[in-house]
Amino acid sequence: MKKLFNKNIIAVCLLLALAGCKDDFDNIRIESNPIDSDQHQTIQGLAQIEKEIALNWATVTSDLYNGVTAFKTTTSDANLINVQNLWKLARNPWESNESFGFGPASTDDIDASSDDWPFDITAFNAILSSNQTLNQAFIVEMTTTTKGFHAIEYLVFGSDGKKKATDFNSRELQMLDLLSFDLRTQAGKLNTRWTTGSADSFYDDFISAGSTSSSYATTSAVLGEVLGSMVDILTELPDNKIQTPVSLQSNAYLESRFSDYSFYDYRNNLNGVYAVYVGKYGNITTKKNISSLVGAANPAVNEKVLTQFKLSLALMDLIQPTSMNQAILTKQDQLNDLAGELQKLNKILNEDVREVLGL
Amino acid sequence: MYVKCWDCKFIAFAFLLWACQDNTSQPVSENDPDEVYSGGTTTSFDVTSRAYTFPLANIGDASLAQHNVGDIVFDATFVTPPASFNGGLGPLYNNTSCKSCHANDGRARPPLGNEPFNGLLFRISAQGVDAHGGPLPLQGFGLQVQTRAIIGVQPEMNISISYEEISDSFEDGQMYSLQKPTYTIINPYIPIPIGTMISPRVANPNFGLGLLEAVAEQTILSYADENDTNGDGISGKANYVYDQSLNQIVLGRFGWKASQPSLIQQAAAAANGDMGITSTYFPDETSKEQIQDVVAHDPELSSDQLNAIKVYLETLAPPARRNSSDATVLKGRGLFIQARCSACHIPKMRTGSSGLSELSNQTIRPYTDLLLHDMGEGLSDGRPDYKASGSEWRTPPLWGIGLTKIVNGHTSFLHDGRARSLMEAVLWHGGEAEQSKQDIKKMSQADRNALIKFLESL
Repeated sequence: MKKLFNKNIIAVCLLLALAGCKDDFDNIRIESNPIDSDQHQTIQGLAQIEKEIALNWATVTSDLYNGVTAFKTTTSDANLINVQNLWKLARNPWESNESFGFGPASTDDIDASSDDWPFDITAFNAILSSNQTLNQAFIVEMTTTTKGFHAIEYLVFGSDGKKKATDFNSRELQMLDLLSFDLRTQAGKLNTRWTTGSADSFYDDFISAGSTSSSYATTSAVLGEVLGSMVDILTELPDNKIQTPVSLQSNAYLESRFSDYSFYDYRNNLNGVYAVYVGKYGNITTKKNISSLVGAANPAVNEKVLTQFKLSLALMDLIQPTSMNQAILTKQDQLNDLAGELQKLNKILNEDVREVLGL
Repeated sequence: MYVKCWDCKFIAFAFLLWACQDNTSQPVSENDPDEVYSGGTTTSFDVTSRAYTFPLANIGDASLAQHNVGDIVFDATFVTPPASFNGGLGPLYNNTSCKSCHANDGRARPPLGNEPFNGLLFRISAQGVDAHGGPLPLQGFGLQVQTRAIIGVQPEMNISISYEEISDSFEDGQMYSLQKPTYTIINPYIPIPIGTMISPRVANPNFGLGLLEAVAEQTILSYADENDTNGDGISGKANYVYDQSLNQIVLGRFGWKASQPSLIQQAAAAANGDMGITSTYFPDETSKEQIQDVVAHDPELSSDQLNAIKVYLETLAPPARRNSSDATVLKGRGLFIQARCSACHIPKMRTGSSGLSELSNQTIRPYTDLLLHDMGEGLSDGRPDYKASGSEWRTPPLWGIGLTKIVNGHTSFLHDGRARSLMEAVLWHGGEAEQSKQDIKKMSQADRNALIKFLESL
């Protein structure tokens, strides 16, 4: 008995001493099974949603390019209004796409080439007034802050949102044509990468997580990727997109100030995150989704997320009229409240949902 | 047999001594149960495209607040002045934001096809050295080629890349091909003198830099063997470079040739050279003393903003290893050591004391010695950089390298991104690493695969 006691004492001392000379590792991870069936089905659903968003974006940017072509042929106010509306339609799927900001949107520079911000208005005006030859090669070389959505927006709405067809000169029309073609190209790239069987298909890599994927060794890695993107936009939306222009009282900090379409950009940001969480986008409804995964593991957390989504969406819809250019001057309290609720939603997703899903 | 209690105590004591010893002078460890913790207690655990973007796992509130400010500045996109905000771009520049080259705080690659240059830049210099022994700025160009400019100013030049395929085979007969780049200068704004030296450099990952800065100088120097006194064919040489804030020559740690002494100087130099953003460190515009000089602006990056970027870079956590206990990975690890890759890519070291307590006294696994090594003529850029000759390069840290594909969507490696895979990077090794490469070429396909599996687990 005495010997046993001594041995135990020594063993405990040894363990304590070893623990003492180790670094303070309290976050040891246990690797999970690479493929979880429910997660796998959720990922198939997420891929379907992104495939649909990318296809929509490719379609509406093609419509925009066609509209610009018609406007270039017949430079009328009616055709300009059509282009302005098509620009807004092209914004919708793109701004809903923030939960998929990883992969080709990032690595293929699609995000930067399409939606860099702030728009370099000084450089863009200088290009227009220079004798620089305008062609596709030049557009490819252009700094990303002078092309994409916001360069097109500046051209078709003007700095005050009051542009008329008669305001356009031939160089602006040429630039508009080239920029809308380039935007369509970027959307086409995203659509191709999110198409199964395409060359270098990211879609295939995404859905094969945990098996043959070259990017994701486990299904939970994909869920972590998507959740990370959701958290990123729910950080950027309240902090940078809402609170910064409110606190500085300047629409220069609003995303789509020329068109005054920022409210819809922000609504689409939130819609996109919600669509991914509940697995519903357009005509697509997925049986397994992040909400169902969370709900199966912890119904209270899922309810908490859904409630916070509803509250945030409702607060956003209270902002009427939907001019963010005006709202930052007249509805600061409402916008700050909205930002606060979005930050709460962000925290729930980043902490509670992450914990429930073991990410 | 029953062990006496005294014997138990003796064994336990001896084991404790072994377990607690500082492994600084023991670079190759056969058994490292904590190897998953690349950055010690700072290590982050994320296997997504954000793997390089997390603050230190042990970061304190004060450091985190500064980190977050630095994150915003690092993300800021600069535009042509005058502007409501973020003006100051150019007049000459390579890109408009830090993140444009260091996407997701990761590694850049050379352009493909007609893509613009994002993250591959070119150092340039004339023959000779400057007052501090560093590269001599080329009149009219300085020390870095800016391929972009604000409207009204001509970019210094354009550069195109072409590749020549070079075929060879492993000893088992399996063929491989390496691509050798050739750079062609197009439309320089003034003629470029004969003898001008140009060196391509891709943007490196940002994480773990604070830990590398916290490694004591004596630790790094303990790995050096400049004259190869031990006769193993591997030397290891420290670079000594000019520190502007100290106005003296100090040990170089950062960049492909270890030509930057500190993170703050590295950050300020990059802001100035890459974006034309001035600071108290580099108050002159990139066009100073050039034909197309413009009026200097006030520092476009305040000291507070520059310091915030420094803290941001200091406090990005190294990602944890994956699958470190996998049998194939363990086999590859053994082969890595056996081929003596670990003689330069030193697996483990300890940091010293740092101004940030989070970084102090950490056992880290960066797989570098931070020293210069001759990598052979195949990789030479022919451009000396302080003590580094054209063929000498700093051993790049390998930690996190296996996440490059998911973080940055490519597997381009080496200083100019010429290697299209980890194995191609291995096969470009020469000079001091020639024997290691030959040993790997003799390996079976299974062993080569295990070696790559190991590298991918880092």
